[in-house]
Amino acid sequence: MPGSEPIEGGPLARLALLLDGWLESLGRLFLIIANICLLLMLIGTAATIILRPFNMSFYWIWPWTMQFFVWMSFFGFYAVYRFRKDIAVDFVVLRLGAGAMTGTRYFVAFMVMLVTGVILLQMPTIIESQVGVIDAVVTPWGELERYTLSIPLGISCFLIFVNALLDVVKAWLGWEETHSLPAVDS
Amino acid sequence: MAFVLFAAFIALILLRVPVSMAIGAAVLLAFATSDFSDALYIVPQQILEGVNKPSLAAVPFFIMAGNLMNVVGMTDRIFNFANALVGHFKAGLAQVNVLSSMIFAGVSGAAVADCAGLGTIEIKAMKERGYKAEFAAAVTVCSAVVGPIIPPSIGLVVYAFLAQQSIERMFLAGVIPGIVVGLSLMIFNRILAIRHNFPTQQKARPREVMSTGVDGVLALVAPGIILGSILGGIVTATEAGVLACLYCLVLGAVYRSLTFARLWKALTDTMLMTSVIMIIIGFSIAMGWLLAIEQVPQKLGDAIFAITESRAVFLALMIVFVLLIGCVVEGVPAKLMLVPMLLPVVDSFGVDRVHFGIVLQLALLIGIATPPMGIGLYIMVEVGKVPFEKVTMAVIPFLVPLIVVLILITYVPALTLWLPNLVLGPDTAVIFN
Repeated sequence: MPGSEPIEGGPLARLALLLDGWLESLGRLFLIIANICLLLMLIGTAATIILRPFNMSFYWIWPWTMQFFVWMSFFGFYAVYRFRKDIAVDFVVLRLGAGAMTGTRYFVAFMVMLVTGVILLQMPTIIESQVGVIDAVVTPWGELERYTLSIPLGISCFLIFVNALLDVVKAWLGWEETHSLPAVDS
Repeated sequence: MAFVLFAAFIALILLRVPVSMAIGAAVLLAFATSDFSDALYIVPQQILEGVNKPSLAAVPFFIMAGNLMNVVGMTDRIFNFANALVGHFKAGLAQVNVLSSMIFAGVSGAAVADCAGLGTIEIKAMKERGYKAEFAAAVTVCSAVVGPIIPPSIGLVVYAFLAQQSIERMFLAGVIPGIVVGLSLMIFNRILAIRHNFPTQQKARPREVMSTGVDGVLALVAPGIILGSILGGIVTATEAGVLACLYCLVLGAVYRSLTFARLWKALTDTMLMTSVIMIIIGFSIAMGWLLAIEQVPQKLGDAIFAITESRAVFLALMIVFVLLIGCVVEGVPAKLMLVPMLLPVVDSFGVDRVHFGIVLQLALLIGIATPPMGIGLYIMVEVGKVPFEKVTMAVIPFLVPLIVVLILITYVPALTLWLPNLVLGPDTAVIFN
């Protein structure tokens, strides 16, 4: 168990540092992918508006926009967790002292693992149930299969699970918690 | 079951669990204690269902419009124009703060964009002019309440989706209440200014008003473009959001203030905010499914009818309840939890769903300025560099005008319904007792 000083050396600390680096890189990658999805949503819908006066339209734009919307939300899910952009309320636990902060740090990580773990366990059932293609989401190889909608959710949940596991290790090693401003709005 | 869900959610929030995960965990707990404990696959299935809703595709674009306004420098121009217009009033910069938020609200659908964007400029200017930092922060956070009431509004898009109302009707319904909220804050500022002898500034010359007006006019016409294009049937709500973004991008090009880095920042902020909202919506859809299966709304309705059959009393109980919920639960998740439960009761009491939506929106928005979940307060701590406790204390007096307007809007439905009924005709889709 950690003492008052954070453990910086040793195989576990090195592994945690390495894993943290990978997860950070994946966070940035997912952020870029989700941003590109959003940009493509914008471009697709803008094209629909601009082409309308010319009586031109492409039937696949809107279905692809929805596909990108779902992908953006699910790829973004990992970026949100990794960069701590969800709302978390500290003030009650802060008043209870450092011990409570440490205790809840473990608790939060376990709750996150519980939620994402359950989703991951159910993913095979979900993917099996998503049969057939998504109408009009065309590619040069045909229409996309329905299960492609849920794949990013599964990947994000897996990465969030690993992140939460890493948070437990970081807490055990006595590493400082990172904080950032939430992104949510009314 | 509903008790397990709410209690678990609030307990998890207070134990620092992030909101999306707290909803997820509460939903899983509710499933585990229901007859569907062996059907947990419903949860991710409902998340997928909830996220894949065309009517919600407008959400990211109304968030992006606000973020783009900030990065292309429109917020400065709005502020300068409002300053030239009302800066010489008593508590001039406090009035500028409110008026800027009202103008900004016409393009942005989110309060965070207002707090973080306009707030930075407003607080800096107010501090320089001798206002206390906590007062500047309090005015900023309370004036941001106007943002998601005046259309466009993410909260109203979400409500329209949940209550099966048209987005156009909801947007129109928000116009007058939004203006009333803004005016009430301006009146309150004036009262405070007289009491505390706030700093004043010289009246701007007509030429200055004209030049800042010309500078800001492009921002002033944006709300007309957005609302006009939806109401004129030219574009859908999602397309109107895109139109707002395109407009901001064009302005960025005209003002030569748009760089790739700024565009990327706006995209990132938008994507992160949308992802949080959509995941929360996903979990909440699963929750709504369970509540409906377990007939919780009907049971709640029976319980309320056992207490009162008076619509006025019901509305009073409702706003107290929603204000309390707004203190601990953020606007979107709160709406997602409350609307499926309250809607059948609202229908039973003959309350118009559009009217209820605006009341709910304002009541929950007041929550951005109240601890512990007051997201606006947290932003002010960051932006205004003011301690949380100080902003919280400074905000308390401003809750008075906001709550007075809430009561007014609750008991005078015409304030909400007159404009949509005038423009779109009376809504016949509402279920009355």
